[in-house]
Amino acid sequence: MKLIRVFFEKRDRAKYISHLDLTRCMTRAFARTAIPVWFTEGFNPHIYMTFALPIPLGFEGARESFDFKLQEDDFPLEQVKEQLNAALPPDIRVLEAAPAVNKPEAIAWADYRVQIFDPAGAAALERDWEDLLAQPAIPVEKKTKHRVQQLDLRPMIAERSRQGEGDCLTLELRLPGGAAMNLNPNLLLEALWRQRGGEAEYVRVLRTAILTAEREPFA
Amino acid sequence: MIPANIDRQLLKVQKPARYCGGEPGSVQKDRGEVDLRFAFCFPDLYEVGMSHLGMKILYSLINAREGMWCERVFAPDSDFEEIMRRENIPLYGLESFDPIREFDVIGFTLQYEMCYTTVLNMLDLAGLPVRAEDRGEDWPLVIGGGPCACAPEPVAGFFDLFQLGEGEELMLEMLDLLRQAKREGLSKSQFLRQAARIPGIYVPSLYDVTYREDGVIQAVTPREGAPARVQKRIVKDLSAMFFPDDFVVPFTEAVHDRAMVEVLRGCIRGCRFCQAGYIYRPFREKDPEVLDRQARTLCAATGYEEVSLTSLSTSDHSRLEPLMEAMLPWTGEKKVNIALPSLRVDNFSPRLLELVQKVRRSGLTFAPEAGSQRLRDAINKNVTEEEVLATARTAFAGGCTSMKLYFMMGLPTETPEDIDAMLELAQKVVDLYYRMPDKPKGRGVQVTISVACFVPKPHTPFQFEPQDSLEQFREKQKRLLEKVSSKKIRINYHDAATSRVEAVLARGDRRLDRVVEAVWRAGGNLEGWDQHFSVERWDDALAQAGLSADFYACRRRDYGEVLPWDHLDYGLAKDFLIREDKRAWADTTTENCRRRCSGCGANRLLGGACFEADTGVL
Repeated sequence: MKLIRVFFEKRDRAKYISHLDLTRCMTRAFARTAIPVWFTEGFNPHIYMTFALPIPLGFEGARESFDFKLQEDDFPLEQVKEQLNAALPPDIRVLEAAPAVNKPEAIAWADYRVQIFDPAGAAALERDWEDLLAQPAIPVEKKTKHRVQQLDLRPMIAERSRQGEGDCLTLELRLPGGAAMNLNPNLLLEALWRQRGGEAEYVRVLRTAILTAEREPFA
Repeated sequence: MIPANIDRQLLKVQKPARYCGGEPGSVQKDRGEVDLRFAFCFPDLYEVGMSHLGMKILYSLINAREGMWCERVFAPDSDFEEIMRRENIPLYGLESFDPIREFDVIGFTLQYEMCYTTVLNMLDLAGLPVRAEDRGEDWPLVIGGGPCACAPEPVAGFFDLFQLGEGEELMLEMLDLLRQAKREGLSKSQFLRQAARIPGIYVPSLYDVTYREDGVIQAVTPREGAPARVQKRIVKDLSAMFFPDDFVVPFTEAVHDRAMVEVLRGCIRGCRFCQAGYIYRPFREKDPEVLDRQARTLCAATGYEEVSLTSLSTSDHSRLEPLMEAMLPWTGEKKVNIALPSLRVDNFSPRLLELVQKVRRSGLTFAPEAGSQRLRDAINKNVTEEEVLATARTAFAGGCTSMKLYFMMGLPTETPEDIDAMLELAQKVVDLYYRMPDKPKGRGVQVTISVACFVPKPHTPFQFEPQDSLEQFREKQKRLLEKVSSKKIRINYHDAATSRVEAVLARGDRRLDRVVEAVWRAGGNLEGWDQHFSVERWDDALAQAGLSADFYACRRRDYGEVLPWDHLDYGLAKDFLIREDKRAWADTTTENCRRRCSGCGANRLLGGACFEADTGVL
């Protein structure tokens, strides 16, 4: 039984769907298709579906992924894309379905486009951002289910580009992602709010890519 | 695309998916190709409204029409409402994000009295004056429907018209007339005069109400050609009736998040307290073949993993067995669960019991409504103690260790002994458990008694009856709590104050619209939720209006009194309701409609008998 990786984008209205809701949405989308999807066995069979790096509520994703299994190995993968797209809402689009190449543990990085809007203007936002980066350390507390972790964000931030225009500062960032270490851009933004003494008016975050340790696209 | 001004706010609120639509099954149309836009408003939160079958039916019905676009609108929760008001975001349709005040029709479904202030709040959020007279000739048309439209006088001042009864045919007739009126450039009042001639449409502004000195209605007088009595609409043939082949499937979970098919309408039981059992008459069934096909189509279109066979009493469908036989193979194959929410176990064949047990989960509730057989007879709730105990025995044998019993207090003819009898019945269930040799090992039993306060409702035999006073309710609640001696029995009861306000509104007249408005202006909204309800607001508003809650809630009506809903004909003869009330006081039951016609009058709506083998009027 082949493990199939579905790459999809999740934009606009769909960014307000939580991970749990997205899973349910995908399950029901499969039920609206004729794709021979594999169900787990046991008392309560359900579609086997795993998301390698769930996306937080409020973020858009340009190339997200999840895995499922096909009962029929020769079922055309082009059909998976076509049928799922017919069954999914317009703001979730399947880009490709392909046999999984990497193991989910291979994920090490994620790229984000962070757009910060504020009436203070791009120049002021950029100064705040530079002030933050100029700190020798950016200590934050990362709360997980079981513990509170002390982290220094400074060495984790790789800025790939920066652009200011009008009231918007756009940052392209590469941050650690994956099971070993995952940095949610919100944690970084909270540090920025502390730095500038208040939240910006509005933020948009798009996850543009998920990468392996070799900085290759997760495939 | 979500407009930027809305998108900028959504991450600040709880469950933003409630406010941005875009779900599978939601309908997008091209604004340029639409000449009639309908805002279907459910005056409660998204997760409540998205569970409602009636809204799904009318949404699909209207959207199936070319040139008409129906959108969904729900009440925002307090956090988003605050932002909407601060940021000047007017109430919008979830499909287009366009402000609903630009639509042609704003339609509210009125499911329960406690939503009335939410209706006003939604109109206000839309940027419209709440009173129909203040909106004057300006569109949109504001309409109401649903069960509370059967006695809508307390909200009559806010609506242009009400649709009485079932909407599948009436809605399209009204929309066609509206479309024509708009093409011809008619004013709203000209349209309303025409609409009042469509059977089932009640235009409250065309009726003058006068009162006697004692506050009782003197007369309700129609004007300008409006009918003296408006008769509710029904659809005669459910099998041929419109039914959606797709639902909007919410992203965020609704209270009931599943496919639904409606197996029957009406109810044969005639429980005297139950409004639904009367206002949806006459009893009609949908063919099993049609139901099976509709369920299959819906499950395929939505991908739902559960389909519910809904109605007031699903086991009263005469062909439930063939329906289950037809559905079990494909639901099993597609891993779809069948839910049967309203079953009575008394009329099951062994085969049907077997079929039902294949799909039934063990959660166990039972609604005897009254503790003693005497009172159950008086309210015509034909459930016996043996049935309650037999159900409990089956469930306990199957490993279940808890049972929930629903009761009402304050029912007509009730005595203190009837209150004690609730506990006695619960104790019998507990005793039964411990006497069972095959009870689950090493585990105790928990019986929960849930006691609601009786609210007399229009169009029922108890519409003449007084509600208990707050003091009476509280005394009875105290009696229950004092008498319960076992830790195995838990008691839940509802706040009597809410039930009292419900009783005022349920049987209220037009003078109450000032009160509803004052309560809303004082902050009343989403009052079906305990944390939003305040009885002081209602007490203050009633006092300010010089009206008495007791007059509406606790007063016995003479059989000859003009009731505020007497001009709305739900097919029920007043004589029948009087006869049934008298039978209650004689502790006399009335047989179910299938066994013997009790002459309620609803068969006039069908133009013939409800059942082939009617034995004639009682």
